[in-house]
Amino acid sequence: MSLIVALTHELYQEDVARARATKPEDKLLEGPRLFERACRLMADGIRHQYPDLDEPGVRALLAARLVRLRAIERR
Amino acid sequence: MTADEAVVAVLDALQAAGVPYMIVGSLASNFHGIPRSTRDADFVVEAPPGNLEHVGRALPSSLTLQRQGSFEAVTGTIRYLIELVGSPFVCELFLRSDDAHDRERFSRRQRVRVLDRVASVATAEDMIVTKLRWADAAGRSKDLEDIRNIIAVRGSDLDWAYVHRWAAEHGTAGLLEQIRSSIPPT
Repeated sequence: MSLIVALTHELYQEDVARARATKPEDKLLEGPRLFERACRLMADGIRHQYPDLDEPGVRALLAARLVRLRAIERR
Repeated sequence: MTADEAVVAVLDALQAAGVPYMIVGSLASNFHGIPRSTRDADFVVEAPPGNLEHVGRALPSSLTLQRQGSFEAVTGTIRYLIELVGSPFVCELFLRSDDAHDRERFSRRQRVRVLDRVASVATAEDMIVTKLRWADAAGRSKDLEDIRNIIAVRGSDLDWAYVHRWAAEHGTAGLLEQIRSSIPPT
């Protein structure tokens, strides 16, 4: 087994162990929380890329990027 | 209102409207497997469309239930959207279909305690059976990943006879074995 594959397995095993150690009830709402965190980071990235863009512009660009991401996920 | 508060508000509205439901989709796979980011919260509901107006009325003002349902190709059912004002996050209500597995998974839904309330969630076995079907039909990589994660986290305590029965029925047994063999030993 290559070093990269062994490392990938080890990281996955850590994820599994963490998930087993967390109460299912606590994991239920993690998805929406992670999504909002990702959206905040994406919006920060857009502001950095386009410093003159106003907030409605940031929101519109974020929405467009989310649509593009969804299209990629569906491929 | 944040996205997780929106999910709790929808749970409360379904409860208040007396509409039987179960949490499905990525919320349920996070519950049974490894949490990942999700932009929507999916619920299967057992109610005539008219009854969903009661759900709409029980929602807080920052959540809006769309009056018109739409056909959802992946699941083959009618979907009603609940939008969170000012957010790309959405909640989706899918009407329970007459499909044999859809009926059985709804009857096997699991009652769990979440944030001081009792909620209904699809079982781990039914999440695997459903996502195998979607992965086979639509080829979405996130469905394959969710199945893999549920099996890795819950593997030894799953009712495998039940999973195999439906996988054989749906023609997804080969895909199931492929996913199982890709999981590193834990």
